[in-house]
Amino acid sequence: MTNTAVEVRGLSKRFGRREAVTALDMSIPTGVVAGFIGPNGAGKTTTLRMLLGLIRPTAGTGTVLGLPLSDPAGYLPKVGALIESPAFHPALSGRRNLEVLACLGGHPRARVDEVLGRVGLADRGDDPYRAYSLGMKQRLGIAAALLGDPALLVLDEPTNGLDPLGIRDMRELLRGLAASGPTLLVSSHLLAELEQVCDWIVALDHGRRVYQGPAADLLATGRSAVMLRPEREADLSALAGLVADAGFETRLDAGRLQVTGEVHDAAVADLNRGAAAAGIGLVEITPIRASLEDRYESLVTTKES
Amino acid sequence: MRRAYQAELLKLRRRSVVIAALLPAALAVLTTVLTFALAKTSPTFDPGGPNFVQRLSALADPGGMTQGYSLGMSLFGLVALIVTIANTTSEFSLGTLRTTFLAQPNRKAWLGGRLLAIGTLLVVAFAVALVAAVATAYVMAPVRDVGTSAWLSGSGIAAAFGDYLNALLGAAFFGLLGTAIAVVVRSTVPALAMAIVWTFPLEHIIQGSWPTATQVFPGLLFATVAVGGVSDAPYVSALLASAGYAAAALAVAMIVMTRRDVTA
Repeated sequence: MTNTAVEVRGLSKRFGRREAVTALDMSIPTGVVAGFIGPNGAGKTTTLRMLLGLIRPTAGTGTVLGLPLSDPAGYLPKVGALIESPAFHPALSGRRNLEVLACLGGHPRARVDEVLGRVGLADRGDDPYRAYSLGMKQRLGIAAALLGDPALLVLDEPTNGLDPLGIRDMRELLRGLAASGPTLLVSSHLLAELEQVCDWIVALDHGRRVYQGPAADLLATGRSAVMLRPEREADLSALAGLVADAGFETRLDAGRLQVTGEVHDAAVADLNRGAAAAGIGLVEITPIRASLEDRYESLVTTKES
Repeated sequence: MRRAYQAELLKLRRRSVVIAALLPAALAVLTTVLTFALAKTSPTFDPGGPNFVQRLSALADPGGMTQGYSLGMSLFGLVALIVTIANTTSEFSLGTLRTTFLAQPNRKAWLGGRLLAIGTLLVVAFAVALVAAVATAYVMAPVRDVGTSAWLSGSGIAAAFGDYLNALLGAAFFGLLGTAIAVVVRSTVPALAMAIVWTFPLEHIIQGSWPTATQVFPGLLFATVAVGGVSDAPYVSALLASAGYAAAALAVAMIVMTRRDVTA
């Protein structure tokens, strides 16, 4: 087994005069939950389609599960995927749709009941697909992706169109899937959702990669903030002066002081000591972690500037 | 290809398909009844080729049992063309093609299996239609006082089998043409419009002033094969030309399906 589930170098795709993906280098370690992030039109789905053999790259090479991109028939039996919206035959039941796919993929028919149960559709498997709600359709799409007991699961916008409860259910499902072993590559433009489940991030913008690495590293770098609350509100202005002297920007926020900039742990300790030396007691020091959305915005802004 | 074939058969195993598969039988019964009901008693009447209005005495010939069947199934070419186009383009419009190719990346195998499954459906549906037509012919024969002794002779059975095979070939050729058009065009309405307008009105209008069109245009050739040949186009040459068109259609469908990006 290779250490990387997906490895691509210089992957590009051009549709006519428009370049959808440009010289993409990407590596996804085996066993991670990888978030593939970027706004609509960033090139996420095009990249996933290339990885899944649905479209041919204009340039570039790569491997999926150790096999070359040019041999999708070799690796696809161990890859499960839901690309864009789920697509099934409306007149057939969910179960029959899965039976057709199991037959096509050479998977045992017994897997159909297993995966229906796993996504919570065991009781509705015999209903026609056209009668399914959007959430059920998404679940059936994931069930189809799980048919082959995949080593790599690729899910493209799995929360698209779902209501908040559906999104929560999907998040739980993804966590369950992640715990069961396969490498997960989940694409979404809903970054808050991905932040809660991903431990590896690949970020795209206008078809180019802007970040790749552990999610924790991305979230730990760049701008962060700390919220300070003095014991006495009257000390706020003195505290603000002290923080400004230390080179940070401040903002008053309902009896508290928000400190922004590169506020690392050592700086926080210095501020705390400085406040104590000035006779200001701090009753709250709360780090405010930047969201994935903030980080992505920062990455794109940096690149543009 | 075996897995694709079995998967397509699984898709076909539903009530609406069974009902649709009985349509040829219904059509065969209708056209057999019409053939017997409209037959002319005049011994000098000349129907001038495959026609619903036959000479009554000709119905007692070895091939009389399946005269109506042959005519009815020849009309089924249009249905085969429309159904294969609508069915194939729906795989693009529903997006099921991408789901399919994730499960079966070998696109040629998938297309081959799918065509075989549709062929199997045609074989069964046309056989059921043949049985229905023969039963109807036996019911109608005494009504018009038509002798049936020649029907089950060796040449009668051979004629019936020949009619069945020709009807099947005609529909299969239309089906292959429909599949190729659908794979190339991908969108249902333009594909149907293109196929129907060319294959039916245009070919027939041209045929009206240029009889050789029967030996050249695919729709006319396939229909000729379905009825076992017409005066403007001998059966064997029509069969060979049709087979050429069908092979070309299959090749185009395979090449386009294999090489084109799946973006739907």
